[in-house]
Amino acid sequence: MISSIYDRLLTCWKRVSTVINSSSKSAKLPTSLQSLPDEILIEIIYHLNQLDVLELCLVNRRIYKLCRVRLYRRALVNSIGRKIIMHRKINTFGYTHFTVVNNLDQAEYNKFQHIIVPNLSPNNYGRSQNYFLPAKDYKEPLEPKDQIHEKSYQILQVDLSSYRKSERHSNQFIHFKKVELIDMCSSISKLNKLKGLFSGTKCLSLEPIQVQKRYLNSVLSLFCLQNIKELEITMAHGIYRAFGLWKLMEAMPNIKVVVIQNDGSHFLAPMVGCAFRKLPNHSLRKFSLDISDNIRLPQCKGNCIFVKKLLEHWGSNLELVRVNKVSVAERTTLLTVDLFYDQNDDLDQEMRQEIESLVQWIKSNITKYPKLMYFTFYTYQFVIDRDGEECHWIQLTGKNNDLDN
Amino acid sequence: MARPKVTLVSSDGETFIVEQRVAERSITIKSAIEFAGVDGLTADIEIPLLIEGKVLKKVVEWCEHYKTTKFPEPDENQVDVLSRPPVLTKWDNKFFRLCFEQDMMFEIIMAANYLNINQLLHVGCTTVANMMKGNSTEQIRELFNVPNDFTPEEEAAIKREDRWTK
Repeated sequence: MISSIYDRLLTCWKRVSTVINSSSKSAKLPTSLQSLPDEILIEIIYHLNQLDVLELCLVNRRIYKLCRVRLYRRALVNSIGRKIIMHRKINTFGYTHFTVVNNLDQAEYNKFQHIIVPNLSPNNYGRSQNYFLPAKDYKEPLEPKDQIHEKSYQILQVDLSSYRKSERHSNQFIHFKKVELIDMCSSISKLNKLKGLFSGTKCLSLEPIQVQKRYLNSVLSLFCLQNIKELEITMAHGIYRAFGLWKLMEAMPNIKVVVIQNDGSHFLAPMVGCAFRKLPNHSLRKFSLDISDNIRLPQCKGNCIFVKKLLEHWGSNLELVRVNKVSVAERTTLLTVDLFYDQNDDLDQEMRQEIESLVQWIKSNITKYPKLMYFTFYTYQFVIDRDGEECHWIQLTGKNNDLDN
Repeated sequence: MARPKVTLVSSDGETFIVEQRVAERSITIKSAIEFAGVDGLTADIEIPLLIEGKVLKKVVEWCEHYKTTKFPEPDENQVDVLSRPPVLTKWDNKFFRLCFEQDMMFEIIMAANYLNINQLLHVGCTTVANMMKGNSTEQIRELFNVPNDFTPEEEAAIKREDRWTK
């Protein structure tokens, strides 16, 4: 049966093909770069580092538009005291996939060397040290230009020393201008295609925007950016204070906070204490908190309180609340070294009681949160199925079935 | 019993008889084979393609060369472009750069896209990107014969806009 259908299709195709062929012969133009569809051109652009993309941008309007996708998709705001030297011939992964903005701060040199550079490694910590190359150690690779890839640089050590001008490369090294983050924001605010901005020290995520807390005030100016619907804040190291997250929650409908190597309650507590009660209700619809750390009881308690406050304050509009212990590796393809996550780590009885108490509290107050459809707290996931006045809790995962009545 | 062969027919009527495993480098052709014989290919099959003979010849050449190579499966967890780019082999370089004209290279890329041969597509894109590397805007325009449709004001505005990335 299928074979006979296939035969008929084949016959039809041959007729169509004859017609297409005869018409195309008369009007066929040579295939050129311009003939390629957008998705292939974008693929090509993703093989170029930002210096080449900047040249390509100016070729014509269509290519300019496509180059925007590459340039403004993933930006690495370099906050370290040393410049990341760009070279037209270095096309390793970090350079071809991130737009680097140098705004270097000497004091964070070590942080950069030990944190950012390894994180730029796609799935391999060891290879990562080849991505950013020292100007002073840079040697012209022996291979022809089109053979250059990261293997060419494996013998070099990463040492982000200051740039030492060499005669040979004097026209090829391009210095970054120091750009204040705020200026950069103003510049990119004109663009519609921005998909992400990285300004942190730890985890390069693929999610929309990440900011480090020290830049938070500057990043508030990002709200003028068009088409940004989500914000991701990555917290790594340091002591957390009330740093203005509530301002962001006020302004953005979707917020994701990622806390790495620390106890999330340190920065949630001040919010519970002061921020919520000051704020009017607004449009926050989705709030998600990822903590890549072992769960401990105080943290669990603190987060329970936080979730209650969150719901009390924004409950009328919230659609999703998610608090999750997460592996860094789960979030990004750029880092597989899992520093803090233990898959087998289980909640102890006391923590389960805390969570049960939270779930019961939400259930008893569910009418106050008419839009809440999804709730996750660590390993417990609930979908709230609403049928008129009736509310059904559907527990998707979780090790304690008693939580789901 | 001899293994069934796949005959690929180009849009201008040229035919290429290949082994099933060679043809199945293309996901599009693989799907067509599966459609024609759900329980596996039992007889020879003819598959018409909207690709010119001279282009199809090169695509078949590439597939023949890599018929035994096991390419890594695309990682579902890796997001779009963050998958590792392929490294060009010497053979790939020769295949794309030395054998034919630029329009043929683009034809092959388009054919790889149409036939869904990921590795060939990636290799083609890498080759084009390598041709662009290190060239100025004007050199790229000349190399690929792309007309400039910007006004001088627009060009200046773009340069201003991008200054933070330099």
